[in-house]
Amino acid sequence: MGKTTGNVRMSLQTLRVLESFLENPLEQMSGADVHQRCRIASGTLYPILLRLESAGWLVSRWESIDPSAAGRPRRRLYRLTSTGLKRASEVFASFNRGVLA
Amino acid sequence: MSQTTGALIIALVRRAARTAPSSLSARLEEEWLADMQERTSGLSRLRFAVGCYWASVAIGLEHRTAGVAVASAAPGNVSLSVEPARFFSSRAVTFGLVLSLHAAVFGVLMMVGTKLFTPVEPPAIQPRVIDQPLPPITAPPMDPHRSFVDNIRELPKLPPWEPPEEPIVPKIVNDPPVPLQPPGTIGNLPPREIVRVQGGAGPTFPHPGDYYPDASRRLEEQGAAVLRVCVDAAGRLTADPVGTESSGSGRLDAAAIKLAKAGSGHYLPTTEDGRPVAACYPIKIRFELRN
Repeated sequence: MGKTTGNVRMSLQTLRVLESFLENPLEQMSGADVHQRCRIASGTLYPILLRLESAGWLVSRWESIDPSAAGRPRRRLYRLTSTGLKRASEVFASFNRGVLA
Repeated sequence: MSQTTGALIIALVRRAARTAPSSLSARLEEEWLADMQERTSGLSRLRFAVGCYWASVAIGLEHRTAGVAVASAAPGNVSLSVEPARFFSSRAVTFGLVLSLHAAVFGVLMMVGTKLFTPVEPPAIQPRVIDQPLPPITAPPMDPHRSFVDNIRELPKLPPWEPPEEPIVPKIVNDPPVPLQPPGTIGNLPPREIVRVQGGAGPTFPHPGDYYPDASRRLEEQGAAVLRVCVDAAGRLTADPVGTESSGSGRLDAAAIKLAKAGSGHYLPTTEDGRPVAACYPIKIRFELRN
């Protein structure tokens, strides 16, 4: 069972998603990119991304391409917010201390 | 991957996105279709589409319970507002749904089962009345002057017992004595023969050439002496060997005695029924010169 931090319930999968964003906090990643790093199934991954976005830890935007010119749909890109970076760091720091945040 | 399969997977993803809340369906459809194209194999895309179905169900549950309102799916940042009031968690709602589904399936099975397995009542047994009268039971004629026991059982009549005139005196009769059997015999069986194998020189017995006197070699003396040796069960001499036949040469006879003494412990003992026993037996020692 996860532990609720703010409005985000901390589960193992949520921690893995946050860890992938913390590797490079300025990087923007699509759901497919996160899947490549975390190997989390789509049925679990997208609810987590939306949950983190709803809590303000992540922010998303559409990829700035022309779909007709690129021949593919636009990707949704996610990025850590300053709040998300701070809270995620606190969560992992608390785990390193051995006490849940 | 065939075009039919690809079209089917795309249809699955679109369908999954439309299952999500209406405010999110357009965004999720475009996002999932874009992410699906990152998958290379058909099986991976199919798993992705099935996962999207599950994701849309979970998102819909959280959307209803948390009251998440996504403004639009227009390009640019999406503003999200979160209402903290949450009466039931998504896991509790999911658990309730699963529990309800199990209860419904169980109820349907119970209803169908009672119809399928209606107990069959056995047919009632109808008694049959036999109109014919039973044959009469005829009893044997009985003598009214005799008792009931005498009528059903005729006891044999024994002659009257008369006591003897002379008293009965017990008589003691001595049986003739049984002759003793000689030892070694059982009853009338013949005595058992003991298989006796006489001993002799063993395989490690000293060679006569080693005891050939040098003078006899020079004089080319040859011959065979017969000695009598007494050997125990271990093949050792129990007494000094005694010459019984001379070889014709005193030197060879002395060498034979020396050889027989040196061979103590290398004799084969005499056996009786395979068991080694102490015994005395003759042994012939031959001295021959070989060119």
